[in-house]
Formats: sequence, structure tokens, C-alpha cells
Amino acid sequence: MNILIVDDQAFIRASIKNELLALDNEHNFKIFEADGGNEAIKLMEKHAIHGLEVFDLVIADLKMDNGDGLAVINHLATTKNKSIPLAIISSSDIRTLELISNIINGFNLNFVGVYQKPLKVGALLKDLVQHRDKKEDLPKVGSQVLCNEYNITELLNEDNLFLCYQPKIEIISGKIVGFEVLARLCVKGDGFIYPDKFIPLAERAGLNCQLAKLVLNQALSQWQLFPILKDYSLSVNISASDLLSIDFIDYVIEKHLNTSDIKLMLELTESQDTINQDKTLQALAKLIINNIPISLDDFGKSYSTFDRLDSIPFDEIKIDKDFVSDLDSNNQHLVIVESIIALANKLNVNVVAEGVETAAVLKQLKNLGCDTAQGYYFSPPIEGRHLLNWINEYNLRDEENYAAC
Amino acid sequence: MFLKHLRLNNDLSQEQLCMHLRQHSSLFYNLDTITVSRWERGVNIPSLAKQAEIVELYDKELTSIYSADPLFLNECRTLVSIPKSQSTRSNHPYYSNDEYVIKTIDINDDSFYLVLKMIMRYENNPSLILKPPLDSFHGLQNLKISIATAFNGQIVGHGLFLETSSQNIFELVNIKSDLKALISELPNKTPDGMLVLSSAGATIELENSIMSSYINQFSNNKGLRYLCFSVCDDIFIKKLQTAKLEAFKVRNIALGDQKVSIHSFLLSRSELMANRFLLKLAVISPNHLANFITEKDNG
Repeated sequence: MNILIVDDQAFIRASIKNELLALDNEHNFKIFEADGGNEAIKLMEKHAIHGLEVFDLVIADLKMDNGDGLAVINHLATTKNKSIPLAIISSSDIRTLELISNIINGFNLNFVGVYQKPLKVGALLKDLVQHRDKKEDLPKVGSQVLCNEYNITELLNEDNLFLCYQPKIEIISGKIVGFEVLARLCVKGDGFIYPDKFIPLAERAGLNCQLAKLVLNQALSQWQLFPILKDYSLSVNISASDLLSIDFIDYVIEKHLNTSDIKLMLELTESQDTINQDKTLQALAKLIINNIPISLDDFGKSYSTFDRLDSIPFDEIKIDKDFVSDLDSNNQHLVIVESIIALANKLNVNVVAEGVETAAVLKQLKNLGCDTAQGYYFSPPIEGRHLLNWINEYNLRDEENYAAC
Repeated sequence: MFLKHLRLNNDLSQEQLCMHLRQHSSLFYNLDTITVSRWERGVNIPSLAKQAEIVELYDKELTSIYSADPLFLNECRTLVSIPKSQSTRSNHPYYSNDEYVIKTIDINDDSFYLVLKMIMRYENNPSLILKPPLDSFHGLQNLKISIATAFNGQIVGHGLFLETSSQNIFELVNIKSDLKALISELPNKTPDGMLVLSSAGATIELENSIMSSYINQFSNNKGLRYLCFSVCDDIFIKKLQTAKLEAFKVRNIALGDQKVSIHSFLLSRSELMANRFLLKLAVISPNHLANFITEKDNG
């Protein structure tokens, strides 16, 4: 096995080398060294050109003077050396290491792991073996794709669309305030396809307005069929690119006029580029003037959210579930959620926390002054046919709880 | 297609069925009789999710309809019956395609604690520690175990699961704690979900049989709305992924030098029924299973 150790400190290279050799029972390790990213890259290029030894493992430090670990990562990502197993060692804190892992995984490199210094060589070698075994098994999973850019046009129709509704609960009173519509596509025998898969595909195929229309129609007809639902708001997701279509905006406004007894709200999903264009701002203004409130979805996930808060009079912001679901154990997330809630309160905007799964998280949100909660704690998304039952049961339970107080 | 039977049994014309569906489900707000006629002739068939919606409007369950369908039962059989050839890979040293029986046990069974310990060691889930010494079994009475045993009582497959409220399930999925303490501390609410904590079998057919043992229990109890898997065994996770399921949460926990990833999957009844593989497992009753296992697969 040919191993390349990249570190700018000779004693670290030496100690890793010694440990490796000590564990090398079969005497087949050949160790190469480089004192920086640049030298490592030169060495890998030389080996590739002259057909010298192929490296079976690269162990690289992150912070080095002559070309850092990121340079090595970039080199691997852009050359045929992509398949060389890579292990990163560093004395950085755990959050930086997580960031590095994300970068490496994003490049699809053959990534063994990140290790804090001092490196435990035994653990690394064990991971390497495990990693190799996993790789061999991998191709079976996900080889059949349910939904891709070729069949999305065909899949996206009324027959395949299946809507579920997730309740939004006012934290202070425990009362149901409304429901968010969540779309699924159901394909024969293969279960459901979820929005995280098909929305990007629909966008790329230019079908997003069509999707939003289908969802709007099915959801409004649910609210029409069961008038009790009109007590609750109905939130439908739209993407920023939907706003670019004047036809779509007119369509929504007309629908809303015809069903004005339904409290319709649109949840705008973040998308980087389109939102601040004049056209989208105009579209939002038009919706707001026509009494369709706008909610800003996935707040905190994108980089330019503050910008948006300034230019658009949103009625509601929704904190992304990734920040909420573990805020009782992740201090970082707690701080982020706390500031979003404070911001929303100052701006006088209703704030919804998504991804509430446990009583502990709900309690924290209550203390932080969050208005509304949504998540598995109250209920996973509910199929239309079970919606009335759920509401009845929930309200009954609610009354019992109040009686008990 | 069973739809025609359903319609005739309820004494409806195609128009009436169409109107009825339009009035009772927003999934069919645009339905026309042409579509209904196509369904009945099998020209195109609604997805399993929509089939479930239709039959439930007539107080039936998709599982009961499909369990009366011999062709479908045959598909079920191939999932669990023991292959005649000995080529199947087994990850048990002494087991290859012999007959076995599956039974579900709880705290009242003498072997419960021993099997539970074995399962905990197998699953190696750091969020589910069972702290010894265990002076009383109190708190574990809701826990159920399916075990498959072959000759000499050898355990060749197991499933660990419990029925509890969905709120409790999400607490369990999120919290790192002692299993026993956790289960006994959970508020006593009406169970509306099933949580599976470990599931394994020596061969693929055995894995399927074990899964069907609890999924069938799930499907028979209409009060259960959600089926949740929270597992860290790579083999089983891969199996769920191959069945086109996706984890809603992956938690990484350090265990010594290793990192363990606990994958949690959540399925509503409809999501389960909409997945043909899981629907087949749900249809297999303990009786079916026993028959399928003893009559060896004839191809």
C-alpha cells in the first residue's frame, strides 16, 4: 500500500510514519512524504505522468504554508486522482472539520474521514477498510431512480398528485391556526416521491407554475369539500420563480377571489437570484394588495434573507427545521433561532418554527416567545381523508388538557 | 381490477361512483367517468395510494382486498418462501435455507431478557443503552420481539419493536438515553404508532419474514397510524433504502473510535400501502407465513 503523508511539520510526518510502520505486519506499506500541498500535488502529478506508484491513501494536514489541505482537495477533485482515498488531519475545531467534510463530500471524493490531531493511525486504518467494504456494496442502492429530468413531465399530473396537510399550532394557546399543504407524487407501486426530489426537477423542466396550480386546485377543493376547514388558514408553497409568471399571479388572484372565504397564504421558498428582481417584487405586491399574505419559508437557510425582510412586507417567517429540531442540544442552533424570533418580534411578523419534534424543543420555543409551531410533535403531514378526524381528536385532547390545568 | 367489484357490491353505476368520489375526496375533484371506466378495464390503474383512498371510502382496507387476490399472494410468497437451491447467501454460520418458525414474545416469555440483550448487542445503537443490572423488567412490558428460530432453537432472525404514541416515538428517536428508563417514563397515551428498533435475518427471505411479522401486526391494528424505523444496522438501512424509503433524520453518535449513524424512517399507513414491497409484507398473515415457509418454493 502506497501512502502519502502531507504535513509541513517533519516530526508529525515522522510520528505518523512510525505508527504506520509499527502496524504494518505484512511489510507492504510504502510511505511517501510531502511538506506542503504544493509539493504533494507535484508528487501526485509526477506519479501519474510517469506511471509510478499509484497512491492508495493520502493523509493531509489542513493548515500548511506551501499549499494547504484545501489545495490538495481541489487537486483531487479536478484530476483523475479523484479516486484516491483521502484522510484529513487537523487541529481545527469540530465545526471547521464538519465544514471540510461537507466540502469534500460535495466534490464526491473518495473520502475516508477527518481526524483531529494527534492522529490515531489504528483508527484511520480501520476506517479505511470499512470504507472500502462499503464502497463495494454501494452501487446497488439507488440504482433505480424513480424520478428524473426525463420523466418528470410525465409524472407531474393530477393523477399522481397526492396532498398532505401539516398543522400549524399557536404555541401559547395550543390552538390550530392553519395547515401547510405538502405535495407528494405517487407512482405505481413505488410509494411517494417527496418535494425535495421533484421540485428542483420541475423547476429545471420549467413546470413549477404547473405544479403550483395543481397543488392550489386540489388544496382549495379540499377546503371547499369540508367547510369546517375554513376556520383554518391554508398555506401553499410557491417558489420565487413562480412569481416571474404574470399568468400565474393572475390565476392565483382569481382563484382567491372565487374562494375568498378560504384564508389562503403563500409560502415563498428561498431561491437566490430571482427574488429581488423588480418583476418578483411587483408580483408580491400584487398578491399582498389582493389580501393574499406571504410567508417567508426556510428562513435562515439562504444568505440574503435580511435583504428580503427589508424590501417585502411579509406576514410570517418560518424558521428552517434544521435549526429547530435539535435546538435543545445544539447551542449554535439555539442562538440562531433565538435571534430570528427576536428579529421577528421586533418587526412585528408572525414567526413559525418548523421541525418541532419533542416536548423539550416546544418548551424552549415557548420561552423564546415563538408564536407558532409545526412539526411531528403535533403531527406528521396528514392525508386529506384523515384531516377532519385529526382535528376533532386534537381539539378534544386540547379541551381535556385545559380541563386538567 | 377490484374496483368493478367494489362498485357493483355497493350497487353503484360508474357515474354514481364518480360523483361519490368527487364529493368525498379532493384527490378526485376532477374525476370523470371515462377515467373510472379505464380503471375498471385495466387500461390504466390508479396508484396504490389512490386505491387506498378509494377502498377506505367504502370502509375496506387495501390489505384485505389484496390478501384475497391469489396472484398478489403469489408475489408475497416469493418474498418469504425458502429457496430450493442452496445458493442464497446466509450471514449465519450454521444456517442456510432450513425451515424456521417465527413467534412474537414479550416480557412474559422466559427467554425475553436474553434475546433482548442479544439484539442490543447486534444493533449496537448507542442511543439505546440498557444499563445493567436489571433488577426489574418494569417499563419493558410494551417491548415486543419477533424471533425466528431454526433447528435446535437457533435464532436466525429477530425484530425488536413497540407500539406507543407517535409523540413518544419522536422523543425516543431524538433522545440519547437508557432504553428502560425512557420507556418507563413515557406518558401513557393511546398508541398510534409502531417503532421498530432492530430487524434482521440470516437470509433475504428471513429478513422479509421478520419484517412481515411486525408489519402485518401494524396493518391489522387500525389504531396505528405511523410506522417508524430507528435503526443503525447498515444491512437493514440499505434494505429500506432499496425499498425506496428515505430517512427523515440521521443522527451521528460517536461510539469509541467509531461513528454510528442512526437512521430514522417514518411512514404513515398510506405511505406504507403505497409501497408495493411493504404492502406485500403487510398482507402476509402469520398463517400465510407458516404455509409459505413450509411449502418450499417451486420456482
